[in-house]
Amino acid sequence: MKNRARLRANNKFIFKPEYVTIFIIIFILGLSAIYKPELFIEAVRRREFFQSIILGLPLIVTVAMGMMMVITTGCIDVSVGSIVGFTGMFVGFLFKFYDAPFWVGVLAAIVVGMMAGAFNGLFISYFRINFLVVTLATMNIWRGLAFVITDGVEIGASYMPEQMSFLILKGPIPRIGIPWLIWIALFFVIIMVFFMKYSHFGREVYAVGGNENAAKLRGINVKKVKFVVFALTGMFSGIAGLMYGARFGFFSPGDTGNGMELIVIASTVIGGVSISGGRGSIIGVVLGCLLLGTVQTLIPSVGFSSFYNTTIYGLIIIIALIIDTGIKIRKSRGVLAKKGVVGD
Amino acid sequence: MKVTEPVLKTKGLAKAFSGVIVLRNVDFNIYPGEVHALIGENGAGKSTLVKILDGALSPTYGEIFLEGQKIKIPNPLVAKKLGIALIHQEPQIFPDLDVTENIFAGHTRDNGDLFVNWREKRKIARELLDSLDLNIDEEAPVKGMSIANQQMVEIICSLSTNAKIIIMDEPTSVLTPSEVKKLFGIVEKLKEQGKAIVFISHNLDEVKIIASRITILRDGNKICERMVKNTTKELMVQLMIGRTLNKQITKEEATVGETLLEVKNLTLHGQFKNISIKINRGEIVGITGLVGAGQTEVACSIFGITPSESGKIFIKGKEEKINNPMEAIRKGLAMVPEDRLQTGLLLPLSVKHNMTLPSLDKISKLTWINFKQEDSLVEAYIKRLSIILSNTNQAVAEISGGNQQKIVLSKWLMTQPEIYILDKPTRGIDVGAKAEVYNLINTLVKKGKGVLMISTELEEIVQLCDRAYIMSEGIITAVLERKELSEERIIKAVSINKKEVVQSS
Amino acid sequence: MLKSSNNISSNKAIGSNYGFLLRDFFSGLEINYFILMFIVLTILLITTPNYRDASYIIKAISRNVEYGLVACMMTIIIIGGMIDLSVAGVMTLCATITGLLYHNAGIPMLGAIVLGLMGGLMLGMINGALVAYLKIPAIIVTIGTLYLYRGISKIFIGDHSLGHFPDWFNRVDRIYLIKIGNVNIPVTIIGLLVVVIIIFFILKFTSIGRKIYAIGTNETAAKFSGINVKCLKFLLFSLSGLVAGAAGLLWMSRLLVVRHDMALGGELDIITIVVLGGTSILGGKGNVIGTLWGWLIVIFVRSGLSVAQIPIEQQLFVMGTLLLLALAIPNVISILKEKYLNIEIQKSLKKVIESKNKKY
Repeated sequence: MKNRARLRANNKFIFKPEYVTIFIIIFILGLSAIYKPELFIEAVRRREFFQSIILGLPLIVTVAMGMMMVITTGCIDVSVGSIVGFTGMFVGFLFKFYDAPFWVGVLAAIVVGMMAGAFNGLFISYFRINFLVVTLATMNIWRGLAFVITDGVEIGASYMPEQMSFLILKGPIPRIGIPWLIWIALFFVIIMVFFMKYSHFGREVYAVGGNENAAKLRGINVKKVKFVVFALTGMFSGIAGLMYGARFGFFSPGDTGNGMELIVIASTVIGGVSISGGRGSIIGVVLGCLLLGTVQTLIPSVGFSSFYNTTIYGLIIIIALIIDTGIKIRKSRGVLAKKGVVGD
Repeated sequence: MKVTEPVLKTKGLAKAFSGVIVLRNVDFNIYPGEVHALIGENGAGKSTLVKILDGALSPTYGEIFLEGQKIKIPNPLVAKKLGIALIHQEPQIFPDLDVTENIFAGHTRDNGDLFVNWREKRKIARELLDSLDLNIDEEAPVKGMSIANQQMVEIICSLSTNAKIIIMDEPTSVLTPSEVKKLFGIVEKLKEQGKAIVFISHNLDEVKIIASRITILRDGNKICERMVKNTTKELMVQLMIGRTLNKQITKEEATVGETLLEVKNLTLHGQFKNISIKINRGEIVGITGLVGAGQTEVACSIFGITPSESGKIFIKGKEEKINNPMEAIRKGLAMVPEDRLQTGLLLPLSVKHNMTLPSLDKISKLTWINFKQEDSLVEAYIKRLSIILSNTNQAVAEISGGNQQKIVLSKWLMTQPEIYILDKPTRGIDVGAKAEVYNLINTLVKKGKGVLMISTELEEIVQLCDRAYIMSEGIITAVLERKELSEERIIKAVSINKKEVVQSS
Repeated sequence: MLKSSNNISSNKAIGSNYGFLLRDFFSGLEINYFILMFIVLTILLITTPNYRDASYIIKAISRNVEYGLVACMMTIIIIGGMIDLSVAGVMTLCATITGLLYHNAGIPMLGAIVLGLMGGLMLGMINGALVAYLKIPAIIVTIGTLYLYRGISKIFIGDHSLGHFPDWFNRVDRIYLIKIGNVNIPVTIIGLLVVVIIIFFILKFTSIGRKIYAIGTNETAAKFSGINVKCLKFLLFSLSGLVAGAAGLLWMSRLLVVRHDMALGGELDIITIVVLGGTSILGGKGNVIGTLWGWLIVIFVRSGLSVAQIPIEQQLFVMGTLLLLALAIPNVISILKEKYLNIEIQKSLKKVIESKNKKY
């Protein structure tokens, strides 16, 4: 009976391995804050700091909602940044050349994004091509198409419908100055939390990632699950494309969403989603985004040039992976492994 | 026994793959509230038959009737809906989910609920677990559980889908005697609930105990359907292989010589502690006990896959450190692992490549392979073990189970070791091939090799071993020499408390 | 003795020894895939302007030797069941190190090159340590190191182009070794061909090659068979770092400068080359001759696009589509074939069983 209680406790919040990584990185950051407090205080004081994080986060978080599902099924999608760029340009194109109203832009972002994601899913699930190869290819296809749409020309703020600026300037509750963008991202987060835990499809995603073979034997249509996951990720990326235009005020074929996949993947991995699939939580991913968003904004404030960005993300990914692996090894030490293959 | 209508029956069921007919005209009848054993050699068609019933394969010909109604089973989901559940030989579980989530994975939709009500699911899980008197926490993570418990989770899963027909595919091959007893208790309870149980096993003793009816398949044909009480084991074997076979496991005497391998106080935290084993030339030494007690782990440790943290290994009297399998092979060890499909063989590769893999350094000069030498070596061993195949470039995946095991054995014979570590060498192979394996073991020790055999089949241990070590929860609880070896003694030693250790005179 | 089995028709297993040129050439591939590629190559050759001008073709090829080199090494890694996405980062960082050592530290160029290559080796060793000893999946490790290495280059040289290297170092691709007809063949292409031949022999004829195929097929079983998986993986990644470093230096020699965005996105091209060549991304299958094939296809597609003056970003679109189609079409064809065959087989087998039943 005592074992029961201990096992249950291990499953509880703090001790979940997903969160350990985050705590460790926060600890490291805390150390560096103590080491050089002046820069940190100065950085935090400036209003732009919070603005930067607050406005940048919704973009990352939205895409991360999809990426969480993708990685949980055991795959990776490196094309998200390009889908963001492509849908952004497409929506901008509609705004500029067709004088499309805002709601059309929203609809287009959702539909085009979903179709791009479904394209990925089609090749991965039904044409049976490896997810890495497919998303590497589509990463370039969508980015290339983004350039094709306007032959490389950016779409500036003057063509945006006014609601786009509302997204970042106005919020539903006038007194509290939290813009729509945040609320929308929050909305997605809440929906995804419930979706992953309480919806049938969400459970199937975990099953497919945990043991694809067993999932098949249980009657889960693995192909369909993966297809839908990629389609949904495309949808989220499309919405983020629209948000990009709101946040920055323009759509650019080269810049919109460029390099986003790195941040999103890093956030997801830090957030405790296991690369081998089957494990992870939305909350963890959100925490990961928060962390990375903070780091991203801290870097210029603390005096490093933005050149350090990619380096630090890469470093964080690797540190997070090492910690994650270390946890896995500790866990499996006490477990009597079948077939004598320990810690596999 | 009441004579009732079968709840599920097949008529004229046949299945063919390109070029081969694996099931021919099979009429299989499953009755409710009864355990029906399905036996036959490997390749007889048992797994094909149950795969068809589970919806994983579609029949080429024939009909299936459920309670009199003709049905089609296009996929496992439909099979579940119809009340057919298959418990696999290796428990198919989701390692990162807890027990409840495992039970309901894939069929959370059954209630027609829009969302998953976890509180209710946990309650149901608890109820189902209690209905079988299982002391498993429904919120416990599944990863650390023993295989027996994982199997239980799968059985509960089938109950949660209101399965009327539960098919168990060799459930006992991964269990120890006490766990088998427990499983039989569960099966009895399921019987009382009116479920129909199909039980596939190679172990005829178990079949005699648990089943009331048997169907024997041979070469895809149904040979007969009989009541168990009217059928002796010998008759079963005869019908299974079409000829009489002397099924007694005989041990041939071999001269015992110097100590080939000795390990002292091997310890690996969390897996085994203070393991001391001795193997002399010409001896067959056994390790038995509960699955998960650490035998395989000890073997893997000696072989260098997961080296121990402390303790000493002596080979022919000299102390050695074995850090990886390469070193182990160089020092004269060989290990035939438990699972030939996943760790014993590389399925897509050819027979030839598989066989020569550990011996690559022997057939190559400065890494350049001598193909002629490779070919002649491979042919020699195929001949020696009478392996049946069409050509050595054939992919190993296409070869039958018994022959696959022979390929694994010849692969290790080729390395010409002094000490063989065999982990459940006769698991999942038919009676005929088993006899050949026992023969081989006897031949090896007569030639002066040492054999360390891990097995949970007590008859093997008792008949073959010169000495047996019994392990429980990571330590050796008893060492029995040949003259004291008996099944009762082993069972007693297996369930012994950690504190007491029974030593032979 | 070998009895003929009445079982399933024997598929040619992977890696049969004899007739290696023909059979293994097509091992794991559909023959119609190769025919498709051959047709594509021919079309490209014909439609590429100046195709008659052999020296033009040689020039186009020699511009891509670096990618070809890395792709050959990548073939080995992919056959081994792993992947190294960080190669472009290693190329850049290695070249950066060499450049900086020469310029800022005043080390003579030859020494800088040696140190740079050692640096590449070490970068590969880092990958190797993380993948082989810490058992972190290669995909995510090398994504991380890709950005890490490129980022470090960016930190070191910012947006500048580092150049002004000694004459003997520059334009190594203009050193001609052989003359065929009236066409000069640079030493770099010869070097690449030598590398290809070496790799081919290693994979097919040596025990190391067998081991690489083994770990790509089933790593656990390979380990149980006495293969030192950790060591081999570590070795392969280290080698990959070294080769990428060398490729980076070649690039620097050809373009005269090193920049932080050297070979940006190169990993896509390289993986395209390997995959087009028939090597399965899942491991255990493939060969380097196919990679050579894929390399040529990518070269001609790219050069055709450049000539057609399609901007670089839009070229990406074409490359991506090429990769997808090259894999999708054979897959779809074989899926359809499977389904069709299955239906036919089931039909004929039904008839067979029916007739047999009638006999009873």
